[in-house]
Amino acid sequence: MAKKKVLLMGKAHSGKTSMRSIIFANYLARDTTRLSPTLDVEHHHVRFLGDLVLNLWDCGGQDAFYESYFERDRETIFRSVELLIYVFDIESDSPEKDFDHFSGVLEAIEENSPDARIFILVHKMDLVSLEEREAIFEDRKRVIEQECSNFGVEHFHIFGTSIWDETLYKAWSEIVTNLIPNIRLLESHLNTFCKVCDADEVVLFERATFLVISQAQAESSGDDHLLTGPGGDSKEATTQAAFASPSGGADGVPGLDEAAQPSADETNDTSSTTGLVVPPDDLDSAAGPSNDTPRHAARTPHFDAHRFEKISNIVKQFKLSCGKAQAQFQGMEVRNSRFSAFIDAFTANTYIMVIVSNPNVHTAATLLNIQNARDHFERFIPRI
Amino acid sequence: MQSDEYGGYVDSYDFVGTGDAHDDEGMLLVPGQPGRPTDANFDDPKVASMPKILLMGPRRGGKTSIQRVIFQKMSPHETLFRLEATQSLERAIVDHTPLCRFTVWDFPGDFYEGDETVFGGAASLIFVVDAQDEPYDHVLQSFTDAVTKAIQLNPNIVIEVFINKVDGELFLSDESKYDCRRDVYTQVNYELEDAGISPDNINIRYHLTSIYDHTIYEGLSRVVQRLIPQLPTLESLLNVLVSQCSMEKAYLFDVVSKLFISTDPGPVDMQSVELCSDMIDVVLDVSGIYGLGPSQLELGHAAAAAESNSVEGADPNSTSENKDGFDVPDELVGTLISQAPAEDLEEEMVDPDSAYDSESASVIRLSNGMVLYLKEVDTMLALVCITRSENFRKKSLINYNIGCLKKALRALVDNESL
Repeated sequence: MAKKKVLLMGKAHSGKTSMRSIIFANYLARDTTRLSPTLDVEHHHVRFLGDLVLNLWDCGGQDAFYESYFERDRETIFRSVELLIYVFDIESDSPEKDFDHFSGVLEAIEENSPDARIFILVHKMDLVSLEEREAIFEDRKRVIEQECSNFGVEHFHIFGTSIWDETLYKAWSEIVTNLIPNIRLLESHLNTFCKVCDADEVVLFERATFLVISQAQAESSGDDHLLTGPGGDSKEATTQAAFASPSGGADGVPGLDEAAQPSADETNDTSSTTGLVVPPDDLDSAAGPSNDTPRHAARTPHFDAHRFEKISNIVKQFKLSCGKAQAQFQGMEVRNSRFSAFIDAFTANTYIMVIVSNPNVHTAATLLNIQNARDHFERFIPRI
Repeated sequence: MQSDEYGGYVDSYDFVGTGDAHDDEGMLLVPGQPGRPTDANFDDPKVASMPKILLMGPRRGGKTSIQRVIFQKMSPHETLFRLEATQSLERAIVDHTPLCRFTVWDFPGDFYEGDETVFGGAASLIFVVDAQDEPYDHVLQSFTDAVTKAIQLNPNIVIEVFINKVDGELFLSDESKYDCRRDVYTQVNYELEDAGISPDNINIRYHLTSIYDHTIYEGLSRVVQRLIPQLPTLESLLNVLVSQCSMEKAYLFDVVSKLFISTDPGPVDMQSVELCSDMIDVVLDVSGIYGLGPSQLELGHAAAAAESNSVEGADPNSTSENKDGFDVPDELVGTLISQAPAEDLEEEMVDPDSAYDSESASVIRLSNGMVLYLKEVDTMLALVCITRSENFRKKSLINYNIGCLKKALRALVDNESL
């Protein structure tokens, strides 16, 4: 079992505990008003993806505490840190002081845990009007980057976040995927699965937090053809692009992780060994009812950029409603004439979402594919 | 999320009667005329014949907030700062689904005058009281005045009292809510007796409501259900469905307002209603992300989907089995089903880009062995069933039966409009 020490720091009232509660304790944004200021350091163990335990140090932000962080407890706090998350309040009334603490933290980290990954969240973005948001964020980002380079910190990520929209999810999803070692491998397998299912998109969520771990999209080549009209030729091309043989997906596996090497061999014959149902594209296209309609008419990669975070939110909200009714959410299926979405418990630690817009793919086929892929993915979804 | 799409029309006019001060911002999307804003004319016989719901009560009682939250999807928190005191009568048409049409008349605070035109055709009078604003005696006095006048002019009017704002620190326990209801109830009866009306002669119902939770949906659902003349038929249709498919419970929901307009006669568990209503949110939100399409694309796909559907439906086994299985006890129901023109069902003219269309359906499985099944049965109308997973195995059978229900609903609406 791997324990990873995560430091959550920032000035008082910048929203550290609020975001922790939303992400890891299923709070709704409006419930966070009930939280009281954090005194000293609160330790939380958060289990993520089953075997990955985040040892979260939520550090109270009052000035008085910082003195002890920097002096008395310097080693205790800053030693063997895996991840530092520093939170800035966009509406801070004393930015200079924020940076005092920030530079102190950077210095201490560099000294005690030089390998720590650093994430900086510029929080409460909702308080800035939509028009100015971008500009103000860029401005703040520049100052922070400047500060970091002063201390020789080169690898860090900056996000603008707010608990009232999906940006917080996005940032945290990126933070935690950074902790998963064989994420690239996972991605490539997911790509294969996406192709086999003839899905528009496949997304993997962590079970407890519903943070996005990985995702795969169908190639969007179909879209261009659509604009030129559903001619016979373009239809051929579209089909080919979308169904590049399943084994093709494995060739481009970048940076295989040693830990997961054994399962990588199986990528090549995913479809045969795990018994996935490949859409009978060529077989039924002659007899199929939609012969003259463009096959991938609805394969539109123009979806909302924040959709995964929105889905996370929707599902989390619904999970809460289920809780009120003394039941637990297991899986769902939503469709209309343009799409089918399947959100289902997948491996022990994940949920999967599969979006299919091809009307020729039957519900049962997709469900069977999900069912059969379970064991395959179980073998290499991170066990650290 | 999709608030713009289903915006209701609000007509604000001077109460003195210069009836043409129309707002341009609000528009009503009438099903059947996709995307075309209609200049709502309240003198139009079609609109005038819809049942009227009157909202009255003291200032700052929450009348307009209720109206906005339910019918215009304003978030409850927004009502705190986005609404001004209503200065003149505001009327809105609610017409998302053919079975459930009515107009809402939102009066300014402390306005209880009213003549034939107001109370005459009104189906119900909702009196909204602020539970956090004690004492109630003054307010309830005006209530008595309004009620007296209303039943004089219209003996059939239904009086509903919404004891609103039962939320926050004052009402943490259920006990305090019931106490409040008892207070209001006793005082109303006292006032009525004072005014020389026997409280037993008028039908007054009391609802504890708050816009921050599900109670307001519950209260308004009960109000709206009374407006539907076909309610007994709906109930019996749902009853047949539930017993034939061994479901636990079935509800018909107006998808836009999330009010449930009918259910089978079994006991209603508000927790399950809430869950079903949350499911509608899930379906609309997810469809809003993945299921919105440019209208041209939709044509090809709808055709393809419809055809593949008819192939599935042609399975000889399930069909014959079902015809016998769907046993119709009610003669009226029987004729309704046989009259239904099956082939026109797909011709529904809805906004083609809508997230909720004729193919909308959803299944949610819960850990306690229950399945929630939602299916479109009419424009913006959803059937939500709760069933055990072991009874959900023959989904095509259930779908067939729901198809029958769908036809019957359609016939019910057509019959009425003839």
